[in-house]
Amino acid sequence: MKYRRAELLVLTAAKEIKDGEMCVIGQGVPMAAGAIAKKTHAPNATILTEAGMVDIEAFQNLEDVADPGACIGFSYSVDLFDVFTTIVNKGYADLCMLGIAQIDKYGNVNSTVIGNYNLDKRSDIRLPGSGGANEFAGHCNRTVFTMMGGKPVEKLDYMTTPGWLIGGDSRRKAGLPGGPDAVLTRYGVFRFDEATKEMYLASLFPETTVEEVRAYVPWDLKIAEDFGKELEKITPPNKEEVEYLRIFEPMFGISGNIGRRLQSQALPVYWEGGRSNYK
Amino acid sequence: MNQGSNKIMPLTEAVAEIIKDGDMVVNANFLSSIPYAIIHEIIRQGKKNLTGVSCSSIEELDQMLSGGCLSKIITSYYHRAGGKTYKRELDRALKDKRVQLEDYSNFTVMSMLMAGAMGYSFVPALKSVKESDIFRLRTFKGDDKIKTIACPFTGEETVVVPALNPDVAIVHVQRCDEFGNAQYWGSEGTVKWSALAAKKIIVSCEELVEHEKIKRSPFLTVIPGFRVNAVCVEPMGAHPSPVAGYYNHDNLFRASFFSFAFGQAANEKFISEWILDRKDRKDYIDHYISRFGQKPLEILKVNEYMSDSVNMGYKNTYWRGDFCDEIALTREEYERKTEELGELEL
Repeated sequence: MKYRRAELLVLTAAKEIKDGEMCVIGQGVPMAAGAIAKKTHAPNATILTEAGMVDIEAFQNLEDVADPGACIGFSYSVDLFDVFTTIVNKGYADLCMLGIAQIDKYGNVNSTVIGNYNLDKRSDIRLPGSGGANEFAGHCNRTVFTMMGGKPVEKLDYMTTPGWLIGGDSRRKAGLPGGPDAVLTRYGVFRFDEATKEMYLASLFPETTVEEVRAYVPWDLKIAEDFGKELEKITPPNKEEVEYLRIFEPMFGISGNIGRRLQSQALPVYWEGGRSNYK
Repeated sequence: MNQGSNKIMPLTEAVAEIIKDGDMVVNANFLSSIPYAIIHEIIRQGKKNLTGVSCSSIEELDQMLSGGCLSKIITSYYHRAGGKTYKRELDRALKDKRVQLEDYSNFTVMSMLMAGAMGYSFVPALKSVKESDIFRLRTFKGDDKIKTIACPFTGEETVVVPALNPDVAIVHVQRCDEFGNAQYWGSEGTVKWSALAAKKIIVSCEELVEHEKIKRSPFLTVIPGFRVNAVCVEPMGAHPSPVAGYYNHDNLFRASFFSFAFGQAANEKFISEWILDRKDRKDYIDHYISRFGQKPLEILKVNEYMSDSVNMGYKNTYWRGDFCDEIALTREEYERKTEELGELEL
């Protein structure tokens, strides 16, 4: 049976949420990870979204962070302002999990623009922007990033969200609590050195080599062994976990782009004439 | 956070464990649904040197003062009725210098609590307060009572108040689940910001309900379970103040209390009879019935005016049997795709 790196990424991300923790989940992989954590090893976790749905228990993946229909009721309904002040700024959010596109070696994140801010070149891409990322990663007690398609860079094209800033104690000097704890990618999990706050490879996905990861990272990447730690090997998921994820959210198993193409072709299937009638 | 743990405990235990001598205690309710059951337990346990905070206080602070619990008060309104000769415990306590009171306005007390609840160190308030003695006269809060700053955008002089984070909030609500998700409706007053400003929260409720009931109306939850430290089930816990949907003001009882409170002796008699000599709220209600009968309680009954329920809704699942509606593929077609697109081997 084959499975995708994206699926392993979701299942690995779910494990970052410990039972009893309060976790803010962002768009994409984190929404599925948060819901799966709650369904599996962390039934007492409190999962919330930026849109103010607090203590959700999704029966399938949320379409976005304002999708109450993916759960049957929830405990506490507030607005975005309450989420950022009474919950996040007051330190009640143990962690936030956010999907990102570009990250530097100190865990600072760009989710605004790839390339030039003025979009001079054809290759420049305008991304969605901060959304909730800046303050979530800026103020939650811990941050876990998931990076499905993006990549680490030497220098960010735009600093959307502060990580460990320039490393060392620079984040604390700026008066910010928390900080990035892990970056989950298609190759494995990166963590941050306690002293320098530099991102290093902490665990490796199956069928993946350190060389592949080095090729993915533009700077001279340190790995767990450089800090006297063991480079963990992530074990493949079991069949039940993958099957559960595919019922919960079928898209990760076939990639979002292919899923969206299928969606775009779906209406004629329900309509007389079937798919062949679709122009 | 604490979701999943059962927070129900007897009120005696909650007050003993959570409220310490010297604490700042905020009454989160505003005129309505006053947490009298909790306040009476605080008095019975003889808590000392508390700072009492209440945006607008009816008799709750006066009772705590009579019980010797308060050394400081932060409020903006301290109810009095009974003509020129009427003296509350507050009048005697201020004269004897047994208590220090810092005068604010409702809005400034509320603003301080809101700043505390949001995790800000201060917030702007409205300008009018600066033109009053509320701004000019200060007791124990001193310089830190209210200040002005220049708005960094317009340069305009702006009144600001500091965050207030009481040690404990006490609050009475209609219903709550075992996890502490507290639902309150009616006049919202100061409940949300006062409760959320506090470091610990004791909730008393008219009714304990199943979590399922909470989930059906999450917009009625004013205090989320993860913030609550104790849930105490106290029917009639706000008497003689009203609780929307449960009971009305007991004006006859309050009028009796005022007449008792004309003098210190009468006040002390009330405090012993209705607070110190009562074991708990149930005993208080039983005592009420034994003194006045059932009839006065029947007068308090509310008429029914049910809220219209709304459809919270939820979706169909992606998969209907072996067919995925979302991408219009059969299970077999989907599995063929996952085999084709899979990158790793299981």
